[in-house]
Amino acid sequence: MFLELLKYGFVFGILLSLISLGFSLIYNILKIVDFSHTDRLTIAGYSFYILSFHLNIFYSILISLCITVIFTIFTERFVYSSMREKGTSALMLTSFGFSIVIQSILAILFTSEIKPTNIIEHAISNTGFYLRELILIPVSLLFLGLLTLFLKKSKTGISIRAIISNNERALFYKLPIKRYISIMFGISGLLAGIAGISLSISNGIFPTMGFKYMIFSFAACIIGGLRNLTGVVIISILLGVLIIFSEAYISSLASEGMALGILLLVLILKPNGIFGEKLREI
Amino acid sequence: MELILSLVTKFIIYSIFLISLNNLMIGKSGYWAIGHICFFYIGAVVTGILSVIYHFSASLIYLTFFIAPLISSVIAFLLSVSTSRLKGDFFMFISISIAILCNVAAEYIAGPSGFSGINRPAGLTSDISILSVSIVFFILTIIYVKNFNRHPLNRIYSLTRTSEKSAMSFGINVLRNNVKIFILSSIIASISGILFAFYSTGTDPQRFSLNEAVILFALSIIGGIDSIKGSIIAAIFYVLVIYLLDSLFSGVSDIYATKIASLVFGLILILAIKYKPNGLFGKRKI
Repeated sequence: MFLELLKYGFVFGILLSLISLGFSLIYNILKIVDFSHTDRLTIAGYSFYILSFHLNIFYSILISLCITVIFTIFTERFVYSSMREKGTSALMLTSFGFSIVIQSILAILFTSEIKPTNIIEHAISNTGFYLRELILIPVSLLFLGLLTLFLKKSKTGISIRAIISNNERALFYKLPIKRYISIMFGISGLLAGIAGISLSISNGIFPTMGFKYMIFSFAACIIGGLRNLTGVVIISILLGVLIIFSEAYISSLASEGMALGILLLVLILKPNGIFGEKLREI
Repeated sequence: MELILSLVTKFIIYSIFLISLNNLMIGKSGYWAIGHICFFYIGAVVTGILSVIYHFSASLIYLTFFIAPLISSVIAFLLSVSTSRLKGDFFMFISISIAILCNVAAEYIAGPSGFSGINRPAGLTSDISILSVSIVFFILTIIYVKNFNRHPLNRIYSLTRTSEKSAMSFGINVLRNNVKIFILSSIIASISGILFAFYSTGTDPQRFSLNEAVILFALSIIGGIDSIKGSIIAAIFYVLVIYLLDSLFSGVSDIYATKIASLVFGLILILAIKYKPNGLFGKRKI
């Protein structure tokens, strides 16, 4: 029981780290908390749900990932980019409104019932494998490694880090900031898409499914320190294990309360996060 | 007649809440308190707890007018102390997470469908009497806010909004002012929550969800920040839109009315931020 829970917690933590990495990438480049980030999970889940009726599983995963990435980039281009000059508060309120719009459109189109997508997992688990463990963990670890390499070594990654550390100096060196913002949104959309598909396989889909993960991933981001991507991954995995244990031993309501409680404590006691450098004036 | 009565009562209750959100919380302190709806919920849920769980009698239930504002002012105090460390987006998230925590706690106490069958207090059993009490509170709130706008404290708040550091350099205790305004607005919001619980004799969690919080927030931006006229007109608009959608989709499905309402208000929020950032009657931009 204990080891089983630990394993599930680890898997959940890896998923959470994908979501919260996307969150912190967007935070770092636009300096906003993107409340509609977890709606990309929902978009991925629904497109996977629809496609899996018509195509085989690998094509439907691929196409729904593409849909999610395109949706994310379009969100940035058509909704956020015109609001950027109005300041961060306006941008955050916009992301909040946009998230509500997406959720209500999905609820009107597909009703707000929970749709199960666990058919595929059962088919595979009958042969003795779990889809999540078999595909998800290697793929996620691969993506985490690729992301690190991309940010550390490639020219685009170095420019992105330059934009993150000093936006105005990046403008001075004539870096194409708009294109890099799109790339960052694309990457975070891809990460959210992977997490969304695997969460929808195990938990089913409904229009507000992203909301819970928004709380968890935001908690992980803040606790880990928003600029420190390694810290975010470590805290996400720890938080994932903690959440699975509290869901198993207490109740599912307790896990949300606990994550928020830890978040509030950390925000009040150590506002820059556990691993974070000083970035906010206290 | 009954229809007009219910619409007017809802309008009065929501405009009390919107004035506390728009003219006191956002207008004076300048913090984007999306989770302000939690005080509204606390008012309603405390009334539910006293009436349904502890079976307070019809005359004792008046105690809720002391207990609910007390609880919500304790929470508002904690929230306002956090402003000494967190600004801007982080405060927004703190406020949202306190609202979510309140929702979780209420779901734990009252169950997923909320309380139902709340006793109305003695002397306030009819709808008309609830309406008249609400109107009294409404007029008191408006008089209070109008007086507040003329008070020297209002200028102190407007200085603090522009620059906290310069306010501090004049020897203004910014934190104490924040605590004051947070507690005040939370008390008014919780009173509107109590009236709502007495009026509808139940606490439907749908009315206090985060979606609803964003809708009410959008309304205060549409009306114009720190404008009483704007809050009142936004409340009329909200009540009418909700009524129209409810009557349009009453036969079809429950989901459509609420979801189309949140779609409409979400779009209005985005468009208002983009094209009319100071709202209908407001002087300040977002």
